[in-house]
Amino acid sequence: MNTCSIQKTGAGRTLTAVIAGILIFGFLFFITIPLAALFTRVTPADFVTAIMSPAALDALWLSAVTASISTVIVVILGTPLAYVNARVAYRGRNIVDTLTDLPIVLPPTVAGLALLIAFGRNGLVGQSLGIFGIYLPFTTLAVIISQIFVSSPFYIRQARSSFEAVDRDYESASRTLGEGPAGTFFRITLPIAASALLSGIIMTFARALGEFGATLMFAGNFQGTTQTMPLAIYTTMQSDMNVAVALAIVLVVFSFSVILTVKYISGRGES
Amino acid sequence: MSRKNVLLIAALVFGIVLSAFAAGYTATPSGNTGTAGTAEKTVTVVTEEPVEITVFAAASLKGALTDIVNKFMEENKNIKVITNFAGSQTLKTQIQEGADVDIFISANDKQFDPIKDAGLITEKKVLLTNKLAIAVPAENKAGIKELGDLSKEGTLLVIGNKDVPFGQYTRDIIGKYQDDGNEGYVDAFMKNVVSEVDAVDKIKPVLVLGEADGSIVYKSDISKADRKDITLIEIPDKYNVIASYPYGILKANADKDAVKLFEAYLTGDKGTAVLKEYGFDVA
Repeated sequence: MNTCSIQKTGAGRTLTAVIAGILIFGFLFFITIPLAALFTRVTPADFVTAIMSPAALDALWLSAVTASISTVIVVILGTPLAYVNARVAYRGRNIVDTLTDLPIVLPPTVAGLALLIAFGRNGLVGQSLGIFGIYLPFTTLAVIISQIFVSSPFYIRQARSSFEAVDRDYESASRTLGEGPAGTFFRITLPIAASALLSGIIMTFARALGEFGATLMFAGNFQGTTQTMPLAIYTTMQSDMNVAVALAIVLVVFSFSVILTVKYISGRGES
Repeated sequence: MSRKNVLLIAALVFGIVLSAFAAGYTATPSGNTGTAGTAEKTVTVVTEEPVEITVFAAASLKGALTDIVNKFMEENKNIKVITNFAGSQTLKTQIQEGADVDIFISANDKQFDPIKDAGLITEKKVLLTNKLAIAVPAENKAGIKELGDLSKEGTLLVIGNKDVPFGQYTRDIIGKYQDDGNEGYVDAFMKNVVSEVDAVDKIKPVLVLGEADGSIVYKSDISKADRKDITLIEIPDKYNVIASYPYGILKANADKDAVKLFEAYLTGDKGTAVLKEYGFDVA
């Protein structure tokens, strides 16, 4: 009786292990195959030709520039908010947090439409901007605005939790020793939170680089002005598959390195 | 452990074989339609089993074809028509990459012919013809009345890219207009283009919101519902491009009864009436 039940659990464990194994390998297979397939589609020589094409070069350059600017703006605008929300408990903090998180879950078309209705020629804010001759839709600036809108939550969330993780005793000690609040922030809080902040910055940059839907709606699609890498992939898919695949490979390789770097940085931060 | 693995694999293989057999059996009856004698038998089979057919059609056919499909399915409850609307270019790629399709309706020959040349479709037929028109927001703040107005400085245009049919035709039209004694028109027109898109769905919102001043689109793309926000201005025939939409039945599914039935409906009186209602011309 007793031995029988032991055998049963033994068999049960084996079965569980087998099922888990199948699920795990099945999933990894499912994730890896499409990415690996991209690499089988072009020869290295075709890759080089494709990536040197005007459409690809324009897109790479535009993406690098706009995503960098967006990331810098997100850091400048997002850091004070993240710090205040980490340190100050005020009424409505949850509402503010929810608002800043919202772009993560919004479908890109909603973001694009909202931006168009707000900053478009006839938009809520856009109408007033028009008085000064500022016209946003279909410009490179619109690309940056779209990227800021969708990528900011990645930095702000990470920044808030990294500030929360900083031991307040260090800050208090710094203040007791005569350092002002700004000095304390820059000389104590920021250095301690730095590695966690950096992973937030990298994720924000990667998300900005991958931005597609909102850009297409709000900034349009024009080579050299608003056609970033994801838009170039979408467009060249219809005319030159090699260029599309080459750009896709660049994005996949870059994103993989980014996430791996983030894991390395945050792993080091923990130890 | 290894015995368990073997058992699992065996079960999997058994399942695959079983489903393959099942698929084979369902395919057999519709294959035997050669003689008149078996035709009656086939009809009974069709009414017993719900059959799915898949139609890939150019995005510009969405409204009309959705209507036709719904009407068809109401009359033929045993047939389920699955539709996939996208730019013809995208559809062509999907079919080349092995999508399981019964009927392919393209908005031009360029995307259709490679499928025929690859031997995937044997016969090319023309379903309908379509013309282009200037589309402007209902307010028409830029005061566009004809082709010539589209080259005025500061007019914002969103057009189809050169790889999609209506984008190609846009370029053809402005070329013809320039050749008709309007020197420098093409350059001035293209200078006003702020975005090039792959489908008309991306043009309508910016026109409705008044963010762009104009575009050149298929007449049929601006539905009755759209006309309260978007105004169409005719382009004279001498500049216009008359687009013909070729279609064909994929060779692999050419003998499916449901497919033949749908083709007959689509090209028959009822289908034609709907197509005309949506602004298409039926050849």
